[in-house]
Amino acid sequence: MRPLRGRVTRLAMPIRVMAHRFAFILLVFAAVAMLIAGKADLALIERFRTQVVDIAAPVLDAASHPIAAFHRGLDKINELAFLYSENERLTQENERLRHWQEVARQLARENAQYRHLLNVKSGPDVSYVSARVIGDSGGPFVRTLLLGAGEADGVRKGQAVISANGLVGRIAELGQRTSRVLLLTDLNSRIPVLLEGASYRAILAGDNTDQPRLEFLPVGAEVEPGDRIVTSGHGGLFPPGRPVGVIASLDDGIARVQPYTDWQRLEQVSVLRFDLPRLDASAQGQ
Amino acid sequence: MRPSLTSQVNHWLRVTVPGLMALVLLLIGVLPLGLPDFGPIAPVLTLPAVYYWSIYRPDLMPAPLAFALGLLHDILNGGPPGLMALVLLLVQGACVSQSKVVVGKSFVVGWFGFLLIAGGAHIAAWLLACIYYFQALAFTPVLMQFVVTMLLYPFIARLFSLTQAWIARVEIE
Repeated sequence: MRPLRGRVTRLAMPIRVMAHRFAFILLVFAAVAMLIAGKADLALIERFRTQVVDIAAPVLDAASHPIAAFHRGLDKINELAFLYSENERLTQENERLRHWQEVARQLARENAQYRHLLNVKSGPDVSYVSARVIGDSGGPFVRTLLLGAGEADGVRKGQAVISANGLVGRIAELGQRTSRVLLLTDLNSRIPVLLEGASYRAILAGDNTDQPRLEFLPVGAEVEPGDRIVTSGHGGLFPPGRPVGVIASLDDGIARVQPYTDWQRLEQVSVLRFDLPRLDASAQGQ
Repeated sequence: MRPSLTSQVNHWLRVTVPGLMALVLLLIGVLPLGLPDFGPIAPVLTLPAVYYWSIYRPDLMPAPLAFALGLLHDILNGGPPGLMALVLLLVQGACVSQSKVVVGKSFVVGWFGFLLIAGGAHIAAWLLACIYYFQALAFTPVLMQFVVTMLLYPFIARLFSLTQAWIARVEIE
């Protein structure tokens, strides 16, 4: 028996090595094919991705809770340390805001009167889906977030995502229970915006840095650091007038925007369920 | 003699440990850690895992496992699908073929080997991403990511070498 077995292993070894090589080459081809298919935006690839993320979601969701709790604990300690100065600051801010509240009330009254006089149709209603951030893309090539809310929760592709401070990005991929947000800093993000006040239109283009660029500003537009940027609502994907950020710098005619959103502190975001006014209008017209 | 069922289950559990550890490292990389300015330079923690195991225990890090880890990394991070799968696959292939250079040498040799392999992997990932997005992407974050991965390697390798010793011990019993 022994010699035969020796012969078999002698024969089997090269076959095994061959099989390994073959499997390796096959996998390399599979990876390249996937890259090409991903570039071509095949629906199949996207479905596969969202399904895998859906499966991983419960694990990520469970694991992100203790991290969030840890950060909240740190915040508590910080708050305790600065209790006195924070209180002073808030008292001052409160005074200032009281004044603003008075102004806002007056303006709201005036606005309502004018709207009534002019018979203005108000914009479409916006409702919110709040979602927990369960994943954060690491690495230098993409800027995305994973949310623990998906199609089943009423999230749809293209909807705007906001934090307490400002715009975060838009829904790029959608699973049943999860969705992926393309941050406005991502290389592929393009968002129609407006310079508040002057009402210049522009496109906010991400480039994987913390401060996205303003593109397609009108020629001769007067822009200064500190100018506020809001969503324009052009294209009908985003509701208009949502805060995005401020102009941070101007270099060689390239304006860069500092988003209001604090990227490090994103635990909970809101997805805006915004019904396209265009579709509404066509539906009413019929 | 056929090994008993419990020892078979035991064996199966042991050989999956490297893969499971890599999976945990992968998930840690995806979690929203909320560290300031860390996101863009967050290390690919599966890279040291694939390197270590395909050098010291290639039987526990076969090519399909490296491929699967890379693919899961791509999917969870939302990057180009197949990019990290291809890179980790090539790392696995390179490590298995060159493992003789490192095995049995001091830790520093292992670290230096990782420096070369990880450097190559980061450059390959960057080049692939540039081709995929059809534009020259910034290289500085990639360099920073590489440095972070290099600095973390000793700790991860220590964890792996303890695990490797444990697996070997249980295997002998």
